[in-house]
Amino acid sequence: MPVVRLQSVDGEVFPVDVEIARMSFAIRNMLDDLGVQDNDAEEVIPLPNVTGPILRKVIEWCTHHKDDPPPPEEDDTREKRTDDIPAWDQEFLRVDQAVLFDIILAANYLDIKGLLDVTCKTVANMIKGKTPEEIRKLFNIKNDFTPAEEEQIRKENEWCEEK
Amino acid sequence: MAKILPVQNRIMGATEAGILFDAHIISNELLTDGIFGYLTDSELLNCSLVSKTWNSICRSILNRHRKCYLRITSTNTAKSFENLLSLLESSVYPPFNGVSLSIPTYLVQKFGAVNHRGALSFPDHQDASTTIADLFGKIYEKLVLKNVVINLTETGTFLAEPLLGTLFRPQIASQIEYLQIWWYMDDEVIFRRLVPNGLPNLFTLELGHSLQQMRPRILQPVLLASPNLGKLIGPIFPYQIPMFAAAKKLSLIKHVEIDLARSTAEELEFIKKYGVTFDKATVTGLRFSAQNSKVMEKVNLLADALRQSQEGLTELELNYLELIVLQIAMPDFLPFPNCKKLTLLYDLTCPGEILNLKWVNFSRLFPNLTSVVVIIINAGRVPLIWERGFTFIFESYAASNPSQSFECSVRNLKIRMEDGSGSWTSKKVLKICDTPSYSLLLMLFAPSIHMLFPCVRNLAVAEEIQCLNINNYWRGLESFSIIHSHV
Repeated sequence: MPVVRLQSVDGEVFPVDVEIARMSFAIRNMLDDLGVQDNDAEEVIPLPNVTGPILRKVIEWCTHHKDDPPPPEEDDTREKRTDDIPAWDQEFLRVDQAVLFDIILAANYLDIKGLLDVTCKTVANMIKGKTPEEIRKLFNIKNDFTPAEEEQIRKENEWCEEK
Repeated sequence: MAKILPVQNRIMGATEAGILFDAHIISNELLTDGIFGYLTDSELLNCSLVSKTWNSICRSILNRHRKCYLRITSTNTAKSFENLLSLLESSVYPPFNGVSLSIPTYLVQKFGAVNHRGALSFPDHQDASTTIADLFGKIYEKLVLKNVVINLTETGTFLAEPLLGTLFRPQIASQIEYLQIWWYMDDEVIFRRLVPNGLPNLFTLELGHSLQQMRPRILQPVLLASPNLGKLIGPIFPYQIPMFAAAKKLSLIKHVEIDLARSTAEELEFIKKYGVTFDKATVTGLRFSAQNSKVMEKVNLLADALRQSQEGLTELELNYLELIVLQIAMPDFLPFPNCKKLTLLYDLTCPGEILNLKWVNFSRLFPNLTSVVVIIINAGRVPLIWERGFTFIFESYAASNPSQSFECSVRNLKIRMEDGSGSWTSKKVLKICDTPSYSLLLMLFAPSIHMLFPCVRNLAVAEEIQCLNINNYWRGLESFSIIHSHV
């Protein structure tokens, strides 16, 4: 199996099967642009935005999902579900918030749709069912509304809600 | 040789959670759309109270991707509309991108003293000069009215004119991109004055089921006023076909609902006369027209209509009785070669009739079926409420082999089940916890199409059900439990 070497910002180098690395559209495009052949085993691709520990996680996820079918076309009419995260992914994403957000940013930067979807769903699940105050606490967010502003929004929301 | 990828403004893996979320995720529209896109409208409204940044993200998603109506409903009082106006006047970024006018009788009473000229008078308010039209004219001006729902009842007639007349003023009506109409009133009186002059940006029109009953004349001017209408949601009823023809919009029709009880034979003939073809057909009403002497004539017209779209028809939705009658009444009934999805409506008020499904030759009528949805309507529920009740969706694993017969598909079933609340249970778990008659249906329905449930690993049934033939239908079963239901 041909291999490419991915280098994190902190200098760690990860040898990865080309097929797995190509799950990242950013890497795929670059390999295609560079005309990298299967036998260029010494190729090193620096990823200046991703640290070693995060890159390791990303590679782990891609390796586990390498045989997944391509994700279905986006369909606006279908309700977006968040209760369909595979058990392996749920376990894989049981990490610190900072790590989870870094994986999201890395998935976005490397353009790995499946990983981005599942991490976004995980964050959405963290938000669901919580009060605004609980959400602020969870993500360490400051409430910068004045009481009057908050009341205004609350009243506006009341006019939208189905009774 | 290597190339540096474009560098973003931060290194991933080095920031604290709270700061990170606000600074790097929240500031990236792609990511906020990704995360917040999974939240429902009411969850977004809730999140808009977290902080100013969250507020602008949530409202932006509501505004761009959702229909967020200002809801005028039966719980509003006249006084509350005055409060609404002042609320809108001090609003920086209101969440609404439309208005939903739902005016049942109840609201008319709540309006308090409304005189025949539509003037409001409030118990605690001396000024009776404000009229509904004035008030709503001001309210509409403060809103973005891309999406509009009109749902009016007969007793709301006198409110319709000020509410809709104001809405249909050119500068407001020109904003409307999506219009949904429900109508429960005789519009003869208001029709003359209440005609939209122009809906230049209307692209999507959704017609509620009530239009089957009330046949509002307002539909015709709406169609004529909408040169850019490009999409219909919901079924078209045969009586509406000439209106679409007059507006040169017959090609928009994709889904026709044929109600054998409510449609006259003349109306059914419109389908043939105007050469209407459709992808989806819904057939209803046969059991309510059994006494009608014209019923066979109508069944034949229905068969003609279906033949006209036979090749293109991909989805058929009907009551089990209609299916049986169609098959019997038309011995030369050709199959629907491209019909992929069949929705069968069962009414459990007459469970004895369920057995009749044995009469249907599925593999001949629908050789390429990939999905069957059975909608079960429990006793005491109104048949109009399609989304209630229980839904089975049988999805074939064998999509790669479309030529497979229905019976073969059925042997490779994946089962998903939806309860009335709209949430799905796990794919491999089937729960039967509703009425006993529901499982009765399973037992009767299953053998009639040789159905097996090879994937079901966990089965839970209600206490009352004692006689499921587990060995025959649930071969892969690993666990079995009984739910004690006392509903």
